[in-house]
Amino acid sequence: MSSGLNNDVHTLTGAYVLDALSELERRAFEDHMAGCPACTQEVAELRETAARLGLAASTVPPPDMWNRVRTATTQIRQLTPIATEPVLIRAKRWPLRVAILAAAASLLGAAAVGVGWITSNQDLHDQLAQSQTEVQRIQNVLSAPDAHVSSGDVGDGNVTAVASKSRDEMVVLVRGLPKLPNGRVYQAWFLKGDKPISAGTLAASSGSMVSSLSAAQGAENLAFTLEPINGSTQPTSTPIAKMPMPA
Amino acid sequence: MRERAQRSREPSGQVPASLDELLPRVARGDDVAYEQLYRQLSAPVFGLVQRVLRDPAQSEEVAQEVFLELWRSATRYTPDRGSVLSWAMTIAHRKAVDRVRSAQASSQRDTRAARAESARPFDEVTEIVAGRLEREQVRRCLGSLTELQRESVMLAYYQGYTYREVAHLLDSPLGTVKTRLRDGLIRLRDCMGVTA
Repeated sequence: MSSGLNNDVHTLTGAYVLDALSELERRAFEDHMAGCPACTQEVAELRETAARLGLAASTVPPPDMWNRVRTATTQIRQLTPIATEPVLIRAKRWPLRVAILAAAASLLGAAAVGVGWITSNQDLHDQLAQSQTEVQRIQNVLSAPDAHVSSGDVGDGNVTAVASKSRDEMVVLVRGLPKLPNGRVYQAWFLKGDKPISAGTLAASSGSMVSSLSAAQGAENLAFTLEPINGSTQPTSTPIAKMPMPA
Repeated sequence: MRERAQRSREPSGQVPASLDELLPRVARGDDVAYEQLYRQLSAPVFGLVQRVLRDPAQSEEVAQEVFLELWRSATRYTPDRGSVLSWAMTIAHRKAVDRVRSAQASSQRDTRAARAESARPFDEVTEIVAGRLEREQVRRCLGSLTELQRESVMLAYYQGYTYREVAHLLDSPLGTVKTRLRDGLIRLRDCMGVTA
């Protein structure tokens, strides 16, 4: 988080409305606005104002633009009217063996370079660096006789967690989560009641992480938040997803 | 103001349905309402996008994306967060700015030229649908800002710069620019008599 952001976050309404914030600041401001009715009201008013500035730049588009727009809309489904809650992992009740096969298939996908998982050289580097030890740890968990699975969708992506008490490890496989803003990582949390315990970070929207299960201290749920690059000791943002622990 | 902004007269002289009346119909998948919405918003959306992006082909592409987004998310629009016009222009500005920032690494824009141009925002406008009164009002209200407020607001809104970039261009501290953007918009709001 950039220095001073919290001190004067309130004055960012103007820059926010003008789309003049960095991605990170924008998210921070939106977090702030969620609990600040005065900011919400001011943003609404300043947006109406900015719209007038936009209106003053009106220019008639090429006449055939309408045909292209109409053609495209015939192929696009409208969103469902009710927005899904931000915390929205629905646990899937899969037969265990199917779930583990699916998780293993995801893992193979992650290991195979060029199938769409690896999106940058940094990702590739990370994946390769991790792969020696981590793939072994993951296989170790997946093949455990007492492996349990929990899985669900997050937007267009999904999260699968596989835990084995006998191996004392949990693997989290993540695929196609929303793109991370600069300087942010996904952080997983064990939730024991309301108490969060870090379960590790992931610096990509697709990938895997392994955590020690004993750290979970019998937590019931897993949650995922966006955090600064080195992770946080406590969640600093609203969870983007929450799911039951594999059991 | 809102009435005038949202009702442009058709050639026949009939007053078409307002945007606020059309949107619930669009949300129910009404193609006729969507076309009317397009007719009223195409010039504001395209004009704003082109103002930020300049390149006509790219502007059309982004304007089309905006209209697809309006279609897709009409179902999620709620009036308590602002007028339809404000919602549509917010989406249009956001998409134009996203395009600028994603293209930024590959093309360096001439910021000095941008600054010179920002002083003359309306010269290139080829046709105004919203009407002369609105344009005059915007011009008059922009004139009521301090020069630095006006320059900051216009660089951010019409050129799509971040406040850091604006601060760099105007050689001003970040905090000053943040404050100017907010104070400038508040003064515009009061001058235009905008409510939400």
